[in-house]
Amino acid sequence: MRDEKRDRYEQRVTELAIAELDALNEIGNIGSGNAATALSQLLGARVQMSLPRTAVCTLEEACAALSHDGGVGIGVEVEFSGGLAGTMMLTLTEDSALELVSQFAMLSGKGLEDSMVHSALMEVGNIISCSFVTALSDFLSAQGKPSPPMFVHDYFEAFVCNALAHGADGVDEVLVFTTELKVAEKALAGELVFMPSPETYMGILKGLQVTEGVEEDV
Amino acid sequence: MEVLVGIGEYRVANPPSWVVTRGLGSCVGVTIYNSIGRVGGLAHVMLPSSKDFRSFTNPYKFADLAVRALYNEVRRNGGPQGLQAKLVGGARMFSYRNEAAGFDIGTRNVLEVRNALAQLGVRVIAEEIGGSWGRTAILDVATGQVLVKTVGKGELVI
Repeated sequence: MRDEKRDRYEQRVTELAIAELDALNEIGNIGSGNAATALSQLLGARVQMSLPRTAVCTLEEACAALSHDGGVGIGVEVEFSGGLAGTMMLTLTEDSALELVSQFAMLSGKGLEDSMVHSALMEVGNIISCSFVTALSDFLSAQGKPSPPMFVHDYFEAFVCNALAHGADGVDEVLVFTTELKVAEKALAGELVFMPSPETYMGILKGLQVTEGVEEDV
Repeated sequence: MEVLVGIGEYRVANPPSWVVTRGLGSCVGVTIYNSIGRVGGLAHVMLPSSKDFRSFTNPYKFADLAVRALYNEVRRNGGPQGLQAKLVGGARMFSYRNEAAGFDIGTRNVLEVRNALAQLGVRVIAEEIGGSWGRTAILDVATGQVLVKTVGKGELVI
């Protein structure tokens, strides 16, 4: 990312007004609504997602907030590149991952070491991520090209930090959307996290028309 | 007493105490121990270099600045003699498509921590690094030994 762009980005993030955060919440809401519908179709069960919380924080604050107090869980990460770039991650505690997997009849009774369980969780993460980003791309008129989903089962801190550090691109203030999942009326312990790249974040602000004074195209 | 070190923090302690940091993935836990003064500390480094960032609030998440701060604090408490370092973490938790071999955050964190220690003249006497799994590090300040725990890959002492 070019320096002057980074300067402006950091300025924008730190000066975010409440009204802008509300607007960002709305964006997250569009994305999570779409994701919930897609997951519901995959599972054939009712899926609810909470209104997303939008946080602007430092990298380590984001990691700490998503670390489940030193706990162990699973993560499915999908990276998006192109005009709509960022990191999308589904995280779940071990219990909640198994709860989610139990929605697939053929996987009942299988554990987290089973490769079919990994595949199922990757598919869930993939569908949620892609539908979330598709909703945003309609709004932003920009496309994001997804990577294949990547699966991890380890300390939350270990993989969340790695994902955020990888996506940071030299910017310490990050924008993170998080939402919670409920499947078949059962709340899952975990989060759906979207961290747009700094340039995409500028694009989102532009889309919201809250970037008065910023003339240059992103 | 157990002293917990969060991401981008460092702590120094005297015995009897254990300095703990949890869930190191690509992050690196670096301990500096003075066996003569029996003072030890641990830093939880998240990113390789503050020079990659134009602004930041917390300097101690960067290898270059955290190692120096940790060194100064251990030195202030136990003198400059006999300082030894150990490294834990630096894993690659995800196989990113756009990441060339050897340029992942974990590997770069390890290299920058080693560089910073070399500049300060602190010898690295043990490492438990790399791979694709997370690690929890526990420094026993009475002995300088570091217990490394994993999820499903056992534990060992370095």
